Amino acid sequence: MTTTNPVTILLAEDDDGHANLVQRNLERAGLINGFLRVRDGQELLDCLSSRGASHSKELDEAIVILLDINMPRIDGIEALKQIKANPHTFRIPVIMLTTTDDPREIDRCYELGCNVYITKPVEYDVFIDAIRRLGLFLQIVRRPRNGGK
Amino acid sequence: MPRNNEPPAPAAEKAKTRGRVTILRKGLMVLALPLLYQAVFIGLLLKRQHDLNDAQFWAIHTKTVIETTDHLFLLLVTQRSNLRAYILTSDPVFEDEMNNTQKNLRSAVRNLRALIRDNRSQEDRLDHIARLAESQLEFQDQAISEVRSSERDKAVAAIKTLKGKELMDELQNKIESFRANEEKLDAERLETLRRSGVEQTWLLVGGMAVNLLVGAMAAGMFSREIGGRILAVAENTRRIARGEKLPPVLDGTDEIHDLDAQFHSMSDALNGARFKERVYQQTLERRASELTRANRDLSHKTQEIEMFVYSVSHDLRSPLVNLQGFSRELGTARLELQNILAGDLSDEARTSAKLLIDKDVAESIHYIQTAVTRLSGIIDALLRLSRAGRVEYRPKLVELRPIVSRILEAMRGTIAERKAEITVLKLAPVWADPTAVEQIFANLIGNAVNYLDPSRPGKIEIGMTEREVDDMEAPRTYYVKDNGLGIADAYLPKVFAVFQRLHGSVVPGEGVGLALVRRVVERHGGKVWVESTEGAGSTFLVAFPAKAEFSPLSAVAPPQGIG
Repeated sequence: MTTTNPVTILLAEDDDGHANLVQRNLERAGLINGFLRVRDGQELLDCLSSRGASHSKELDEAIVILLDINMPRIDGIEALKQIKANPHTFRIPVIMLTTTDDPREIDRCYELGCNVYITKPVEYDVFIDAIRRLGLFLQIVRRPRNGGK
Repeated sequence: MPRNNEPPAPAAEKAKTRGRVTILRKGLMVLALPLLYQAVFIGLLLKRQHDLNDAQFWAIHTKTVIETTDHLFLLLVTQRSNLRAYILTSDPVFEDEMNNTQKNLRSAVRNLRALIRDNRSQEDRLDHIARLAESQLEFQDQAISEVRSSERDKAVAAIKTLKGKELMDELQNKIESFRANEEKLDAERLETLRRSGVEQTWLLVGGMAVNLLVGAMAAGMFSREIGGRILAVAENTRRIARGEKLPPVLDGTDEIHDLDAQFHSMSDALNGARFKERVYQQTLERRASELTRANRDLSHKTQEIEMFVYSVSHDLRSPLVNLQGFSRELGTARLELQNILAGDLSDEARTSAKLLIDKDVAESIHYIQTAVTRLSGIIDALLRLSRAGRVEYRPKLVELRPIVSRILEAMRGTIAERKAEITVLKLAPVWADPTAVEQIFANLIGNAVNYLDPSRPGKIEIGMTEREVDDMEAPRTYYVKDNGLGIADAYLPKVFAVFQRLHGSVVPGEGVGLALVRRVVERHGGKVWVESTEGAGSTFLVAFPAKAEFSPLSAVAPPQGIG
C-alpha cells in the first residue's frame, strides 16, 4: 500500500526579502505547510543532517530544495555538489533559484545534477508566475512512500 | 676602428695614381728585368763575335803575308835560275821570262807592303828586302845587257865574283827573318783566336745561367709583389666570412692595397652592422618580454573587470528584485484594502485590514527601504572603489602608531562589545599616503574585530614581519592577526574580489572593503594577502616597498632617512 505525504519545501536564501517573496507566493499557490528557510549553504547541509540525512541513512521525509546560488560561507553550487555527491541525499529534487542568468552557470548547475533552474527575474510578474507554477507543480509532486525501508 | 671611406677628389686621385706603383708598373718591371738583361747579353755576344771575326781576319791576314813572302822568295830564286839559264843559252825566251818575273816581283813587293802597313818593324825589314831585291835586279840587268852585247864572259865573271850569291844570301836571310817575325805574329794571333772561342763558350754558358737566375728573380718578385698579396687579400675575405679580426692593411700603393683597404672598411661596416643587430635583437627581446608581461597584466585586469561587472550586476539585481516584488506586494495590499473598504467595515473586515497594514504593508515598506539602502550602499561602495583608483596620493614617511591608535579609538565601542584584546607591536614608518594607510588599516582592523568568533575571547595583534615577497626587495611587511572565524580554503582566492561576503549574516556591509584595500596597496606598489584557518583565525599581511624609489608614487622627492 502506498501513501503520500505533503512535501516540505527547504529554501536556502540569504536575502530576507527574496525569501519573504518566495514564501508569500508559495502560500498564495496553496502550499502553506512545510516551509523552512535557511540562510546559506552551510545551514542547509546542517539542516539536512539534523533531519537525519547522513552518509549511512536516507531522509524519510519528502523534501524539495529551493537553492540560491550567491550565498555566504557555502554557496549554492557547492551545496548542490555536496547534496548530489551524498548517496542518501542525491535523490532530493533541487531547484536552483537565482538572479544569475549566465548560461555557463546554468549549464554548470545542470551538470552538477540540479533538477530545475529558475532565474529570479527583475520583472516581478514573471517571477511571481514562476513561483506560482512551481507551487502548483510541487502540489502534485508526492513522493511515493514504500512500506518498507 | 673607423676608417675614412670618402672617395678622394678626382684631382687628388689622379695625382695619387701618378706617383703610385700600380700592378701594371710592377708587371712591366718584372717583364723588363729579363728583357734588359737579354739585350745587354746579346750586345755582349755581338761584341764577342765581332772580336772573334777580327781575330780570324788577322790570323788569315798573317797567313797571306807569309804566303806572299814565300812567293816573293820563290820569284827571286826563279829570277836567279832564269838569269843563269840565259847566260848559258842566251835564249831570248829566258829574257822574256826574266822580265815577267821582275814585274811579278815588284808587284809582290807592293802587295806585301800593302799587307803589312800596320806593322812598322816588318815594314822596315821589307824596305831592306826591297832594296836588296833592287840591287839584285840591277846586278841581273847588268848581266843581261852584257849577254846581249855578246860579252858573256863579263857576265860570267860577274857571277863568279859571287856578288849575286852574297846578295841572294842576304836576301834569303832577311826574308827568313821577316817570315819568322810574321810566323810569330801568326802564332800569337791563333792563340788569341783560341782564347776568344773559349771565352765565348763560357760567356754563353754563364749567360744562360744568369738568364735563368734573372727569370727566377722575376718570378720571385711577381710572387711577392702580386701573387702573395692577392693571396693575403683572399685570406682576409675568408676571415671576414668567418667573422674573425683582420690583420693591418697591406702596405704599398697598388690596387691590391686599395682592395685590401676596401675589404677592411667592409669588415668594419659588417662588424658595426653585427653589433647594431645584436643591440636591436636585445632591445626587441626586452620589448617582447615587456609586451608579454603587459599583455598578461592586461588580460588579468580584463578578467578582473569582467568578474567585477558580473558581481556588480548580480548584486544590483538582488535588491531590484525586492524593490519590484514588494512594491507589487504593496499594490496587492492596496487592492485588498480597497475591497475591504468597499464593503461594510465589520469587525472581521477591520481585523483583516489591520493585519494587512501591520503585516504585509509594513513588511513590504521595510524590504523596500532595505533594498534602497542596499542599492545606495552598493553605489557608494562603487564610488569609493572608483575613487581609490583615481585619487592623487601624496606619499611621505608615515608613522603608523598614531594612525593605528586613532582607528582603535574610533572602534572602541565595537571592541568593548566584542571583549577583544588588541596588541600593537613595534611598527616601522612606511613611505605612503597617510590617508590611504589609514584606510588600509581601518579595513583590516575592522574586519578582524567584526569577524571575531563570539564563542571565545577575541585576540588581535598588529605588528611587522620579515618575509620574502615575490618581485619585491626587502619589503616592509605589516600584519593584522586575529583568532576569529577564519576563512575556508575554497574562499581564500575570492577574499579580495568585489562584493564577496563570506560571513554575510554576521556584519552588514557591501563586500567592498578588501577589494578597496587591495587596490590602494597595489597603487602603492605593494601586495596584500591572507593566511587563514577556518575556525582558528586569519592573518592579513600588507607589504610596502622598502624605499621611496621603488614606489610607483614618485611624485614627491624622497625624504632623508628612508630605507
